[in-house]
Amino acid sequence: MVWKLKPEYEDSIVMLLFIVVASVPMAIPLGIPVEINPMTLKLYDTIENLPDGGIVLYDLTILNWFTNFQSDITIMKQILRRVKANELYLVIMTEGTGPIMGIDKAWNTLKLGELEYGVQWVYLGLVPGAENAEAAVAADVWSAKETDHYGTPLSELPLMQRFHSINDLALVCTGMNTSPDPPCRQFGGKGIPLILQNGISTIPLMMPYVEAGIITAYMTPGLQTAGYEKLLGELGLATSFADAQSVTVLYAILVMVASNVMYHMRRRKR
Amino acid sequence: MSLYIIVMVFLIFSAYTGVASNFAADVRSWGIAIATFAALIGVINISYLHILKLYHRRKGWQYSIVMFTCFIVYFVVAYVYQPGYNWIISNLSIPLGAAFLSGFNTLGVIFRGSRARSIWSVLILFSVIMTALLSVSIGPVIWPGIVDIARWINDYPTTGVFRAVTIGIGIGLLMLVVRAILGMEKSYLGEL
Amino acid sequence: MIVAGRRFEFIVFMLTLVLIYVGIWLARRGKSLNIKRLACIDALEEAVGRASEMGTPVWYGTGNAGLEGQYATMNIAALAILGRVAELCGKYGVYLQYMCNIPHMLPISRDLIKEGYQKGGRPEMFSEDMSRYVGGDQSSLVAATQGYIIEEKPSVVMIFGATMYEMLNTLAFGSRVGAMMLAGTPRLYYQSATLLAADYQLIGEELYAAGAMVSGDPIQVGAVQGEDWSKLIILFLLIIFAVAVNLGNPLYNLLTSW
Repeated sequence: MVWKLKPEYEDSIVMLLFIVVASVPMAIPLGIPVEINPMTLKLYDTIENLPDGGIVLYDLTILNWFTNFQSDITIMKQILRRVKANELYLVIMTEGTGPIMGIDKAWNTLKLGELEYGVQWVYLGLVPGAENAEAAVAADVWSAKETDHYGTPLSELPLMQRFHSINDLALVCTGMNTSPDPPCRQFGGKGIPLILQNGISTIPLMMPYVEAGIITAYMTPGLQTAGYEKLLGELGLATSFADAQSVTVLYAILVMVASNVMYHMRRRKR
Repeated sequence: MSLYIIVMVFLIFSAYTGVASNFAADVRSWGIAIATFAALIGVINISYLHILKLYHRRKGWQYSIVMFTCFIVYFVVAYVYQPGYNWIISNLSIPLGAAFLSGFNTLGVIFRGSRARSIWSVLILFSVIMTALLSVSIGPVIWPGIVDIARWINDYPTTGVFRAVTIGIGIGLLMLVVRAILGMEKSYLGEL
Repeated sequence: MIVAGRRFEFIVFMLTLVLIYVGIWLARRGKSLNIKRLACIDALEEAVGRASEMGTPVWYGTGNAGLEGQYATMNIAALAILGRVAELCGKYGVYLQYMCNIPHMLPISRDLIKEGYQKGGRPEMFSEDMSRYVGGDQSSLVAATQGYIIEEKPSVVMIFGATMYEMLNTLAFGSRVGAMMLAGTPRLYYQSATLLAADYQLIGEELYAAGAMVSGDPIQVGAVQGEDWSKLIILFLLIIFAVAVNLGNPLYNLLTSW
């Protein structure tokens, strides 16, 4: 006998089982070892090898707190270690309103309050216009934004006296979710290292740029971020989700197999 | 339309020759200002729609009251009481956003759509399973060979296809540039 | 005059522009090639007819992007299809619901839908509510879409353009209510969702061709033709450079640094 249920009931059963399966690692930690990806090491080395006194621009475009934003936070943690040691300087900008909320939420985690604002770091806030904003900032940040997120004119911020265009930067990091094309067009190929944080399934999208040397290194959420957290020695949400991700991916594969089995059994019955 | 063409030709000219690059940067920043104004259109429209709904007591008018209440509260709290604003973000906005963009619906799509009807779809399913296992820590534990196979799939066939489509998208953009520069853009963008 | 390192790029750029212009020029003289029939576009009338028989609305979306950057061409094609769908909805007397979360898409879509209903012969059916702005965030678009599909149970769900993750949610909910689904985006990242869930798809650049077809504008058809010629040139260059690089010839480095 083959079950024949309405589509919404089948969907609901699949989703309910998913919740149960995803909850298993919370009750029984699986402790699956997390490997550190070669690309993670390359990203780590890129930041560690930046020359002293360099300015890093971090461009946030989207807020997926539990996935992509954790990668952004982890990259910023490594950068902020060097900022605290007065080796690097950080300028953060956002292209959407979502990441503004993310920065507010991550304020204590990143310990931004312990840094000297205007000297060690600047928060430009929202620069609307998507790719247009990126192009404007790369060409002349002072004409793209006259004040920072708090309304302070850029002329009153010591750090901004040294940052006028992309040529003044030591590194550009952008956090995306899907297409790497806009930042590669606007920030890439200008002799400045570019680090991209992007979704896992965009790895094939990024590979042409990686091989062309436009993207220096990339970070993806999930396993790669968990490995990165392990490398930094600061375990976070990505590590705690690593087990749950493993289990849910296995469940998704099981769903695919079950779907095929049910489909072919129903066809045979007809 | 002619203003649009002039600006576009100037920006392309500046990009290739380096002439007047500072002014070109200023022009791009005008676009940012215009984008900010466009956000106002949305706020005005959504308010107008919900006011009409309330006035005519259309279906779901109660949700319009909820919408206005949330809008006003969030707006006021953001300026007046910072801890409240942080609480709304951390405990309402971010979790709700994550819930809506969660993978539940992906599972429904996978369940319904991943049915192998030919040898090619079996191959595709195989590569899907390999690449999915590459992205989680249990993949290499099950079989270390998964890493090599999945990386090969990502680095060669998939990258080749993605390169081709990226080129296609770039040329598609050029199509719009040509039509706009020549004043032949007949769709709504050209009638502005 | 041209900045060093960009001269070859400029030549390829100008060649592409010329080819696209030649395609448009030929099309204006009635000499364009025919674009192949696309099953998804042929199915538009069938889909709207289905909605008319079932007495349910048609839902249409263009996703979480507007008319900026690389998304402009995609959404222009999607808006052309929206105009055609609005005309069919006017012809068959079906309610069309369009939702967006980008402010500047709202007046454009509203005008297109109004014009579509006029062409379809039912201008009195048009209401401003047919084009709805649901908030500035992707989450609000997804929430509004899901809510509408579950409540109103449209029998046809169409999503074209520069869509993002909301495509998955839209198609998943469409399949829950048993809607006929038509989808298309050139964004390769979301081809998988389109192919898995939609009944009729426009894969990759078929969306541009579809936009040109439904607009009936020979200029757009000619531009698509010119685009295809440009791709042939680029393919030719790719093969030459791939062979040159593998043979150790410095041709590629010379041209790109010229």
